[in-house]
Amino acid sequence: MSMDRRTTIKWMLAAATAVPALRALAYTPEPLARDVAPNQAGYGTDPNLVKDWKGGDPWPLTLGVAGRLTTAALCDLIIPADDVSPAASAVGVVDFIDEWISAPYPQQRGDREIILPGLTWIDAEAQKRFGKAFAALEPAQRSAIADDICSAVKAKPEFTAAAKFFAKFRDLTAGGFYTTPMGMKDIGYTGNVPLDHFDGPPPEVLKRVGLS
Amino acid sequence: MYIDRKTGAEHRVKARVVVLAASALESVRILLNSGVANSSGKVGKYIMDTVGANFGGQVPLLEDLPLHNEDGVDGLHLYTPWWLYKEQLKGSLGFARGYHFEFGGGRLMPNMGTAAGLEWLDGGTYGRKFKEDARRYYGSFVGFAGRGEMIPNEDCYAELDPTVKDKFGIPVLRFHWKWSQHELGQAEHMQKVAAEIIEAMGGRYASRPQSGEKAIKQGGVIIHEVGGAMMGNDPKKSVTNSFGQCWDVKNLFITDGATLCSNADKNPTLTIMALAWRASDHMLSLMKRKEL
Repeated sequence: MSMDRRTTIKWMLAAATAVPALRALAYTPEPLARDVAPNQAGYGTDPNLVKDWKGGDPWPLTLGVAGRLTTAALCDLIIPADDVSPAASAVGVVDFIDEWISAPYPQQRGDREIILPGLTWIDAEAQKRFGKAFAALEPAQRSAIADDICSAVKAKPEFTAAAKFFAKFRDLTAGGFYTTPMGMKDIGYTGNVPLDHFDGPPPEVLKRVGLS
Repeated sequence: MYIDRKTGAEHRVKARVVVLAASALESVRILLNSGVANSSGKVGKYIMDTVGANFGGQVPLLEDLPLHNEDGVDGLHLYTPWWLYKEQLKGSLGFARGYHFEFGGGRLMPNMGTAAGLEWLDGGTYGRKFKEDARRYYGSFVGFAGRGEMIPNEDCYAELDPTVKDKFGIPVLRFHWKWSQHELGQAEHMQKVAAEIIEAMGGRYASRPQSGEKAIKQGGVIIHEVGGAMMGNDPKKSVTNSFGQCWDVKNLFITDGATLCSNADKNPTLTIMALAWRASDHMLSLMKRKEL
């Protein structure tokens, strides 16, 4: 599925407005961008989200054809289709990640420094082990590589950097996926609907936590 | 005098009364660059922010709960005001002043962090297992934001930067900052107490509580910057009187956070508004009496 630029930029900015749960709850969101004079270093104002953006504007995208294939294969390895929801690539997560690592903000620049070498590494590793690009591997072959890098604690020393990349890529994939309507439904979010009254937590929840 | 941002042209305006409210530190910058209202030498001194430290954890009891709408349980705010007055009176805490907790969690609208960083809980998964883990842990996190009172001190001040200027050639501020043992003690205490609450809920956390030095947010991060043009009763020790009226320039009033000479643990906006209201009443009465 291909998204228009405006949708993916809005999605990226909206998804980025909160930091991960354990580092979160600061209640003081960091500004994403600021007004910067032409003679100053910085990344300028946020893109105008009302405009109908074309590719390469306001900032050029990064992943080419091969990069998108690798990204799609890895996204779907992390979030495949199941009985509840589709695979990550089917809801536009490849577009999302491409937008994310191409954006000029400090957090996204930092993530780019992990993601791009990681994508290069995983294709090289696929070539080394199986003589094909990662996207061309059989599912079992992809899993063989993923099993070595999906846990920072269990990864062997030679896979330390790859495990760091995998953790970051998994976070971005999950961030993209669970901020889509289908992802929200999958994870069990039932809010953002008009309520004419609010009864508090349902009785079965209160019972579970010992408050009924 | 001001500069038109778009044309760069300088303009001069005259007024019976000038009210300065450019946000605390920008007001300080304007005063210092204008060279007015500073016979006390106190402009830029005693700047403050809120003391901040956060701590979070995960509560197994909240895993896999039946679906329900928890919009509104988080945010503005679940709130615990300061409660350890008696211990403090006994001197058993090691720091002065207090803090509050804002805490939350729940089945909030998913964001980038919702299913990120689960590795400390599930060991690092992918595929169908990862999707199951995301559902299982969703809504089971709790977070505590401690927010405390900072005591103004001599080491926290702003002054004009001798070299750096903005694009109009006007010097910017540079800052000096040092927390005292009171703020560091608060930050450490916040971490310890939050961890104890999480443990009492049967919860766990990814990393242990930190020292005050490590846990405390950098000055300015909580964006409750106040002070720098303190109000007071002594013209030698303060910039304005208790109405925000500058001692040195009678028709210059400061009505933002710059006049605050303390920074309570809660957000300063309502205090700033109340003081601005009070200053306005005073201003009007002076004008009616032709004293301005």
